[in-house]
Amino acid sequence: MTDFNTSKRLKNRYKAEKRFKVYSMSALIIGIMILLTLLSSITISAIPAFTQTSIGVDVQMDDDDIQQFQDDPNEVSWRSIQKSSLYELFPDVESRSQKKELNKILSTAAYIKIKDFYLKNPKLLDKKNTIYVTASDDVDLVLKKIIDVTLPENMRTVSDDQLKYISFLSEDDRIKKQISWKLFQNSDSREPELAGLKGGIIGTLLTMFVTLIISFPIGVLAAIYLEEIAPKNRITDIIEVNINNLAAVPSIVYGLLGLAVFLNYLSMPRSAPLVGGIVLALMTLPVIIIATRAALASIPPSIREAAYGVGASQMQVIIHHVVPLALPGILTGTIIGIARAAGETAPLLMIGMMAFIVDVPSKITDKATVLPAQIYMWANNPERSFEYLTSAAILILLLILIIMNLLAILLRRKYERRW
Amino acid sequence: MTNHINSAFDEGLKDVNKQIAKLGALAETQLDNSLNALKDKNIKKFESIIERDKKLDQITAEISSSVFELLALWSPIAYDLRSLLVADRIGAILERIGDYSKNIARRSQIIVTEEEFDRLPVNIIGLGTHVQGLLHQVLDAYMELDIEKAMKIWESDVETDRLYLSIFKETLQVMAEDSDNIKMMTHLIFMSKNLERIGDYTTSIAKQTYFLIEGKFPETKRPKAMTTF
Amino acid sequence: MKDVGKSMKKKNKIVTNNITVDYGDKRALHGIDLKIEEKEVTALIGPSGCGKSTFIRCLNRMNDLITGCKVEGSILIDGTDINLPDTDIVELRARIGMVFQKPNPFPKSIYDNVAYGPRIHGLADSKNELDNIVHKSLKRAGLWDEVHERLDASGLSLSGGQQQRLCIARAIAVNPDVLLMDEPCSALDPIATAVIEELINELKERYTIVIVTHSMQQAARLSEKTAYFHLGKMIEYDDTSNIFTNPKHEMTEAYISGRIG
Repeated sequence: MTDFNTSKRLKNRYKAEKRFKVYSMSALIIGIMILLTLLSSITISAIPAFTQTSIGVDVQMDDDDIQQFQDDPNEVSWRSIQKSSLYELFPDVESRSQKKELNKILSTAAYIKIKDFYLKNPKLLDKKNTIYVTASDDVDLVLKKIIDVTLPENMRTVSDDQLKYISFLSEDDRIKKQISWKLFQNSDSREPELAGLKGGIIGTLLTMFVTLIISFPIGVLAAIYLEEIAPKNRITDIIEVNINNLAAVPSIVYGLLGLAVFLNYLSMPRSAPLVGGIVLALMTLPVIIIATRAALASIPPSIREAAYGVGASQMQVIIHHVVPLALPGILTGTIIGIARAAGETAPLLMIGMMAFIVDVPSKITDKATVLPAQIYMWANNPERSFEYLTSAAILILLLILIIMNLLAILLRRKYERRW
Repeated sequence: MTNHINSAFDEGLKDVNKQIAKLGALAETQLDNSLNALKDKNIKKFESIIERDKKLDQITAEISSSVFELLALWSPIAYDLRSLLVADRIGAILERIGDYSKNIARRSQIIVTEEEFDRLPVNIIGLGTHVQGLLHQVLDAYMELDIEKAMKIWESDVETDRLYLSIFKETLQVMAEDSDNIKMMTHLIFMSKNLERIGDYTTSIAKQTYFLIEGKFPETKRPKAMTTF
Repeated sequence: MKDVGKSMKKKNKIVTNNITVDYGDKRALHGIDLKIEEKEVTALIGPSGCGKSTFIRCLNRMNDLITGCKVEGSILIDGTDINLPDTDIVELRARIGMVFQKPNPFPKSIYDNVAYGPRIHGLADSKNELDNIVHKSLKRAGLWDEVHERLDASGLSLSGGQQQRLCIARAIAVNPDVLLMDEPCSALDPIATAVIEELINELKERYTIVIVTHSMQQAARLSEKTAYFHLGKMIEYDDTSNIFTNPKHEMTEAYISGRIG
């Protein structure tokens, strides 16, 4: 009788099993750590995008301005009010060049805060108020010590005078940092402190919408035809091979197609989510077709036979039985395809959606840009302040993708039926 | 017939067949012994014949229980079912044939010890020999599954009846002439009746053999010499 | 035992004439001629691959679903050949119901399982009528008492035997004349099997039943007539009592007795 308990082979086998478990768990841990490192570094670097530095200036509107405000708030010369309020804090600053330097401490659109303040509190028009206005991005960099103040003046973006002004304001407790949602409220801008993602987000959503309504019905119906209805012959084999190939085509090719056919031949509007959506739909179509076919094929034939046996026609079998059961797989494939399209930049490059667009699009034929394009453009911007904006934009894009995936999981749960 | 895929079933069937063969040989031997013992007036032999009958009873019981078990465990159908049912029935028949042989021996014991006679007044041995032949042939027919042999036995019962009738008439005559040996003659009547019954049983065995092979019972009515007597 | 006079009065529900089935080059059935009487159980027995399932699937044109399968010959049901190309297959399959080997209820509620057929064939004009059909079918399938309080539960929440009875209810809900059963009990335990066999005994008063079975005993218990198939040919077709007490062909005897060859 072989002794099953103490053989050397047994010990070796247990050791090998343990090693295997350790290896696979280590692989998982390494993967998770890489992911966490990536995410945490992006998150940390993105934090400044959600804060806004403001400088408190004392504003006293004179009677003319007050009168003007009551007639038409838009006609008030806010800019000069902004400037004069700032100059009052620095009575020593007299020369034109110095005043220019001083002004640069504030954001070019700082006056908007003053206007908003009085629109909200018209009763305070005649009083002297300390209003916090948006500071220029340089202030933030200085306070964070990101700008190396030991460098000679001509190698920095901030002059010595400006450093003095900033430290004065800081000592006077006039510099405030607050959480702001300007990232979501503003559209793109050359000024980092004003730049926001609203345009990119809306553009992405509009483009995804077009992509979805084109690729989903066409993809699912085509897959149903190929899988359920078409006879299995050489022609369908060739089609299947070609669809698989299309799924692997580099995305920029679709962009070239979009440029040649939609923009040039059909004269569709340039940089519009409509064209971007169509191009991305073409790219997503093979993915949806393949996923749908796999989902349909995974339904066991016993379900179909049962339906046919009761006298259902082919269409009834497909619509009443096969597709509902295949829905989780179809939805998953669709969301994966759309999520992939949401992160594409190359095809959109060719059709002009990689441009600097300030207006927020309102319909699919407006000029727009998408989040990944925005990320790319911001990443290319040499200004230091755009670094954290880029990180923040990446986080937002990831958030959108996570939301889409959650949606996919929820829909799956809802429609999942065992068989 | 080819073998069964389940050889255990074939083993079981073979065992039953062996037992039947043994039982058949024993029945034939008992009959032969009882006739010889009567002819030779061998008193010792009578005892052993009577004792031996227990063995037949035992084998018959074994056959019955084997058949019962095989039916329960294997749920046989068609030919297999028929062969088991027939084996059980023939087993019972052979046991009764054995009983009749025992009865002949018993009665022979009585007349040999109590009566004085040189030869038997009637040709009961002739009837016995004839019936022996029938038994032997019908068992052959059953073992060999020979339907023609079986049908011959089925038809030759006439001869048995005829022989019996003549012995019966003779016995009556002898009894009428000499009233002293009525006791012996009565026993002789019973013994020849036993032999006639053994003859009847051989036709039963033939009928069962026919049923086994054909799956139904023979249609023609069995020819008889008389109805009752 | 069988009343000979009664069987003479029964008419033939299904008559097949020289049915040949090919899967590509391979011939699966060689010229099957079979007459199936109405309101009886006819059993088809034979070893695996002998063509009995293929034959039964000809009767409701389920072989049409298999690519490369060609069925030739005539299949007369109540005198009409259903193997002609202009046959309304959807209607045919409502008249000839099928129950499969592995219970396959739809992943819907018990009610919807039974109601699906009547719905698509427009057999009920109102919810009330539909409820009646569901009630009747479940009752005839012997399932009503066990499920009438949970008709909304999923069909898949039932036990194997109950699922098969649900499939039977589903088949009879569209009011068929014939029920085809392809080894309906082979996936069930002995008690569930016995329940379904008893059900079949009751159903044969209303429906003509053709059952494919691997179990000799089941064919013997249930059917009036039995056909023995071997390698695509029908070897013997007779009253069940004859097949199982005294079959005419050696091959039949060998198969049913478990003999070699």
